Amino acid sequence: MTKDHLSDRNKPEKPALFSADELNRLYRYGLSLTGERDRAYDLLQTALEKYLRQSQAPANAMRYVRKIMHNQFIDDYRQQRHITTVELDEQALLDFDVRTLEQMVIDEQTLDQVWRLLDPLERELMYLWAVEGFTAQQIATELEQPRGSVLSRIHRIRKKLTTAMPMHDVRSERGEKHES
Amino acid sequence: MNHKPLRECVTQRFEKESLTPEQLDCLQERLLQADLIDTDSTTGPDMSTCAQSSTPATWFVSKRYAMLLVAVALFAVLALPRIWIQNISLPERIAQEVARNHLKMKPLELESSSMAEIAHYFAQLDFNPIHSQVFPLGEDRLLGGRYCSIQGITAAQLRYLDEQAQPVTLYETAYDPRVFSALPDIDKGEKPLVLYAKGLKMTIWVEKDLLFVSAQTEHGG
Repeated sequence: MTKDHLSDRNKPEKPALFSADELNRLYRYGLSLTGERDRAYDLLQTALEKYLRQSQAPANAMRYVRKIMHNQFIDDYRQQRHITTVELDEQALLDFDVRTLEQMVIDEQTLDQVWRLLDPLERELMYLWAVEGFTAQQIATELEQPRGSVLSRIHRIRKKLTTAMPMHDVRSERGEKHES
Repeated sequence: MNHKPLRECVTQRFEKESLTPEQLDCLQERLLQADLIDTDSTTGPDMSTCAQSSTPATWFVSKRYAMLLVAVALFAVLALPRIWIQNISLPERIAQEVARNHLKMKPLELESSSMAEIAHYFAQLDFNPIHSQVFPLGEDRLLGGRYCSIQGITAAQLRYLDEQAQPVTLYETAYDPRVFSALPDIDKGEKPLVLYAKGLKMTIWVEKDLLFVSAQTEHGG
């Protein structure tokens, strides 16, 4: 785990357990799930409390806290509504990898519109892909889910994106082929 | 239209959002407290312990330090409060307790902007939470509530957002002067008591036989 100092906040030169940057990354991850600032903060706080109660140090603290946040969110969310876990035929998904998202361009206003259509797990995927830079396989590993589930989610995201807006496929314009 | 790559657009969307300085301070303070447990030991180095704690997260307590911690904690629990309590007033203790709870920002048990709904939720209390005449935030800024306590007395904690989107918590409990001592009663024309605890502005008053304590960040300017 990174141990940044807090000199920018005029704190004593003591290593932080999570730097401000890491806490903000975890908070943003919480935002991707909850879609609300207060809930994201509550989720992060609850996850850190659980993390502090662990008797053994995990190898990757950031991933570990994200996992706690994910599980906590799913537990809370399931009490309120059903989470869609429909999977598509794996064969039909060969063309849908996160790389299909790489080729898209969009304007902020349209993204705002589409964002409202994404469910929490789709927003989570977008966060892991865009902010953390994960591939589909890494997302599947992170979330401990089959790659097919991740691909089907990408498929749904792409569908929502293409339905909602006039979008350009950069590679298509260049005449390049997609790789799965 | 200003089109950008989707990844860039999504990243920017998230990077616009950050913890508030208060939230960040609160989290880091607690994390640093946890860190102190492991790194402030002045006993000689135990290489086996060093080897174990050289993992990325070095903030977990070894058994040896846990025993020391238990002894210190016992002393702190049994002896220090008596010394401390003798030196600070009851309103100050209330303010400290409420400020601590405010900074914890535990999840709301009920999310609602309806005072009637919230009053219904707090059915287990032996009083009916009401809207205070001197508390400036109304239902339009109400987020919800949770059960809590002040000086061991069960209370309702209501959370609001002020005009600068900062959380404000309002605690209400049945007022018993034998427990809470004499506090300003606005029904008698007295002004609420204002104190500062942990950098927060704390306001304490009695109204309609209920004790109110509000905690908020004081905005400059």
